[in-house]
Amino acid sequence: MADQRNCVVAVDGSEHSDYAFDWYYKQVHREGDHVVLVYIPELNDMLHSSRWSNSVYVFDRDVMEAMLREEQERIKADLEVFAQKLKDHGLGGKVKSVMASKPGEGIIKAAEEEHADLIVVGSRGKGTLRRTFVGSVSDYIVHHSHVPVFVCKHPHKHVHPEETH
Amino acid sequence: SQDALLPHRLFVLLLQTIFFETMAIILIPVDSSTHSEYCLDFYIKQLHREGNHVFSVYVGDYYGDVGVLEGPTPGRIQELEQEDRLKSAQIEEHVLQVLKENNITGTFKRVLGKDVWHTIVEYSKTIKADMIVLGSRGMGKIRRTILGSVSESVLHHSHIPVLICKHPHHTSHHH
Repeated sequence: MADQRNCVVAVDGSEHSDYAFDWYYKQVHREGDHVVLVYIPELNDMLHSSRWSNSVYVFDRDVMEAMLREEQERIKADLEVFAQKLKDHGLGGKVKSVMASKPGEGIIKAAEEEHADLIVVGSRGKGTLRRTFVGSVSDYIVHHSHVPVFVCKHPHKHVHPEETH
Repeated sequence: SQDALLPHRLFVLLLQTIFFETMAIILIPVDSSTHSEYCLDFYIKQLHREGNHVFSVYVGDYYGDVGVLEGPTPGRIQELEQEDRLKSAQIEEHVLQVLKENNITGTFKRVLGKDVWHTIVEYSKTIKADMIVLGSRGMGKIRRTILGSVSESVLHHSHIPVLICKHPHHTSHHH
């Protein structure tokens, strides 16, 4: 019989990733699957930008620390929401957050660490750029994954990119 | 060609009225490549659920737009079309056999179209598929890209979830 499968589902709190998770649960999930929700948090640009060496602005140390703490709290809260999702659906698994400048890279790395048998991702996330049919993160994952990838297209949100010419 | 697909649509409607809650309609484009084989196998072993109905489709070589003065002669075209029909029949036999062995209800259809990806996406709409399962590439000889052009385009233009099935032995040499 089939061994336990490790299923990685990329989540970011957007409607698209919620749809991807529901899709996984309805169409893919099998009893015994070990589900790993991989969360690549959107990091506060001001805290993590590498451009500060050239900047004229200097932030007060207390302000920086407050922002960092706020961010940690936000990430923790998000992780709890995802953990609750697993519990609500009665799924065995875990929630993992990965810090990465490129979400796609982070998910691929997490998938390798978790020995994923498949990856589920929404076709877009929170990003606002609608220039393509498929978001950059899912595109990256499909190209770089060594295991099958499910790209879940949200039916109501399938927006056509605007014609630029 | 719309009329030719009418029986399919009626069939789908019939299935949906009987099984409206429990079944998913799965579209699996197939060809004679190892990727296609792996993909079908993956679906059967990892994704199939009782009640799902599989529509397999082979997009045949299309010679409809060849001008009078260009390309092969009409006689040669007929030969090529016949070869493709034979090829399709072999694929059909194999796919239906595999589905039957695994107790999966499924059908096979050969569809012609100018752009393979477009044909697949249109067919997915016709049969009201719930998801498309396809390999990361097919018969294409050019290995310069990680993802074949058909898979790439179907992924981009599909309105429904797509599973890109990566063949494990063929994905190790990219960097």
